[in-house]
Amino acid sequence: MKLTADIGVAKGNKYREELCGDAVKIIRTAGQTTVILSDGLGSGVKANIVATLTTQIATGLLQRQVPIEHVISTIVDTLPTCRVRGLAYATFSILQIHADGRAMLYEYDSPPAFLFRNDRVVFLERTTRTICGRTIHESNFYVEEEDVLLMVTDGIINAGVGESFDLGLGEDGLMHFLTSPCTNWHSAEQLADFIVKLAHTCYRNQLGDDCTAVALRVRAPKMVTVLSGPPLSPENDVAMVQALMEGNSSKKIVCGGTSAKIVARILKAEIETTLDYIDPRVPPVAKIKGIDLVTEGVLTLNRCYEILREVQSVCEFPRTADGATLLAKEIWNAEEVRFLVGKSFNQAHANIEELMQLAPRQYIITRLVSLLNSRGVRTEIIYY
Amino acid sequence: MKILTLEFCVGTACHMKGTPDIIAAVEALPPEMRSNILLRLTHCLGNCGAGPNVKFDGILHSRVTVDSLSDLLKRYFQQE
Ligand code: FES
Repeated sequence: MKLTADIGVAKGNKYREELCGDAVKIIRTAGQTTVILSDGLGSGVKANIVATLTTQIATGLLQRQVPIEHVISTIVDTLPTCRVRGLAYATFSILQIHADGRAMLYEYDSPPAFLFRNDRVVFLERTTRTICGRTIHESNFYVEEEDVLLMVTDGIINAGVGESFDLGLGEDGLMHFLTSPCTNWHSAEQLADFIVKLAHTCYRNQLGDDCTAVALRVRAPKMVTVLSGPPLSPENDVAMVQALMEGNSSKKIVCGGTSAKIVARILKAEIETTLDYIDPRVPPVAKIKGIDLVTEGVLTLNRCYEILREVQSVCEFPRTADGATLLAKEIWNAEEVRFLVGKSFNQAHANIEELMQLAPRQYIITRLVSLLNSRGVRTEIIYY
Repeated sequence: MKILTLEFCVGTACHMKGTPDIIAAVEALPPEMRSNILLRLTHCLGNCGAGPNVKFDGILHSRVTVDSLSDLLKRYFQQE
């Protein structure tokens, strides 16, 4: 069984701070997903720098396949210690989930991560280890599909300290909220958002500390099929649409007005155009029964590439529902993306593309593919 | 008064050539006029070279601009 995880990240800055003193990094490769969460001591610029430094070191080393023990010892060794408080400048947790379900968790001074299975908290057994004189809590366990893992910084555990609650929300308080029947959340993103909102409430909207929540929902890998562009010869229309429709587990996306017409004709369905120009840069999306997403072609693909290139984590996605953002999110969440690309050339677009310095369809798709490959997403392009 | 249907092409070519601006202009019409207009979006009308294309009461108009459309609208509403 192959497993992966949806990851939602939500953050809140301490009241009146420009920067968040917590940093999150997510590394996805074909075989594993790693989350690094670091909380810099204090708040503001200094905290932000140390936290970012910690996650960056870890990311750099993990990407070079350095074993996790060495990564931790390097971080612990590099972390400066605060002269006044005698504490390390940053705490961190690293969670690694392998495709076979094996999970490893390393925590240094940070609040413990939680595992929920069937809406219950599962106790994670931890062992302690001393690396370079610092105590690291370590836990090895297995995750199953639909498990939810939660990592938070202490801003959340201490939420409302001295105000709403004498001792803050606390781990138990947080668990209580999350397992109570009236909290419903469906995605990892929503859960993370919910927790940060909860912290806002506890702190009465003036966060007393930086707050970050990372939620992971374990699931089977997702596949997305994107059909874009009419085939060189119309005889191939049927074959191309069949390729799109095969494989029930895959999300089906069509990018392009003409492509949408072809798909609708072959599926004998109607195209319904929505009325909203949500983002003036991207033409509106449409609907075809049986297809998960129908967007315009070249502009949307170009914008989608831009979005994917810029965002480093889910929380950076534009919060709009324009075609490009929707497409980018689908692709972001997938472990395998298949492009069915029609090679027919639209003469009417030629001069516009030149004028707007837009990359033509085939070119932008190749760039998307190399971007995805560099992030560990498996891809395939089939030309028609 | 009869409702006037305007169908705007939002295919790539027409979009690039200015459909969003024209739609914005229609949305900004005075309410007594706007309320008589049914605004719809369509995919490529197959006349990309001459965009932006708008179907005005079922008739295809090409190279539409904000000004040319407002002229059309004025004439239409005067007739009605
Ligand atoms: S894009 Fe408007 S007619 Fe083709």
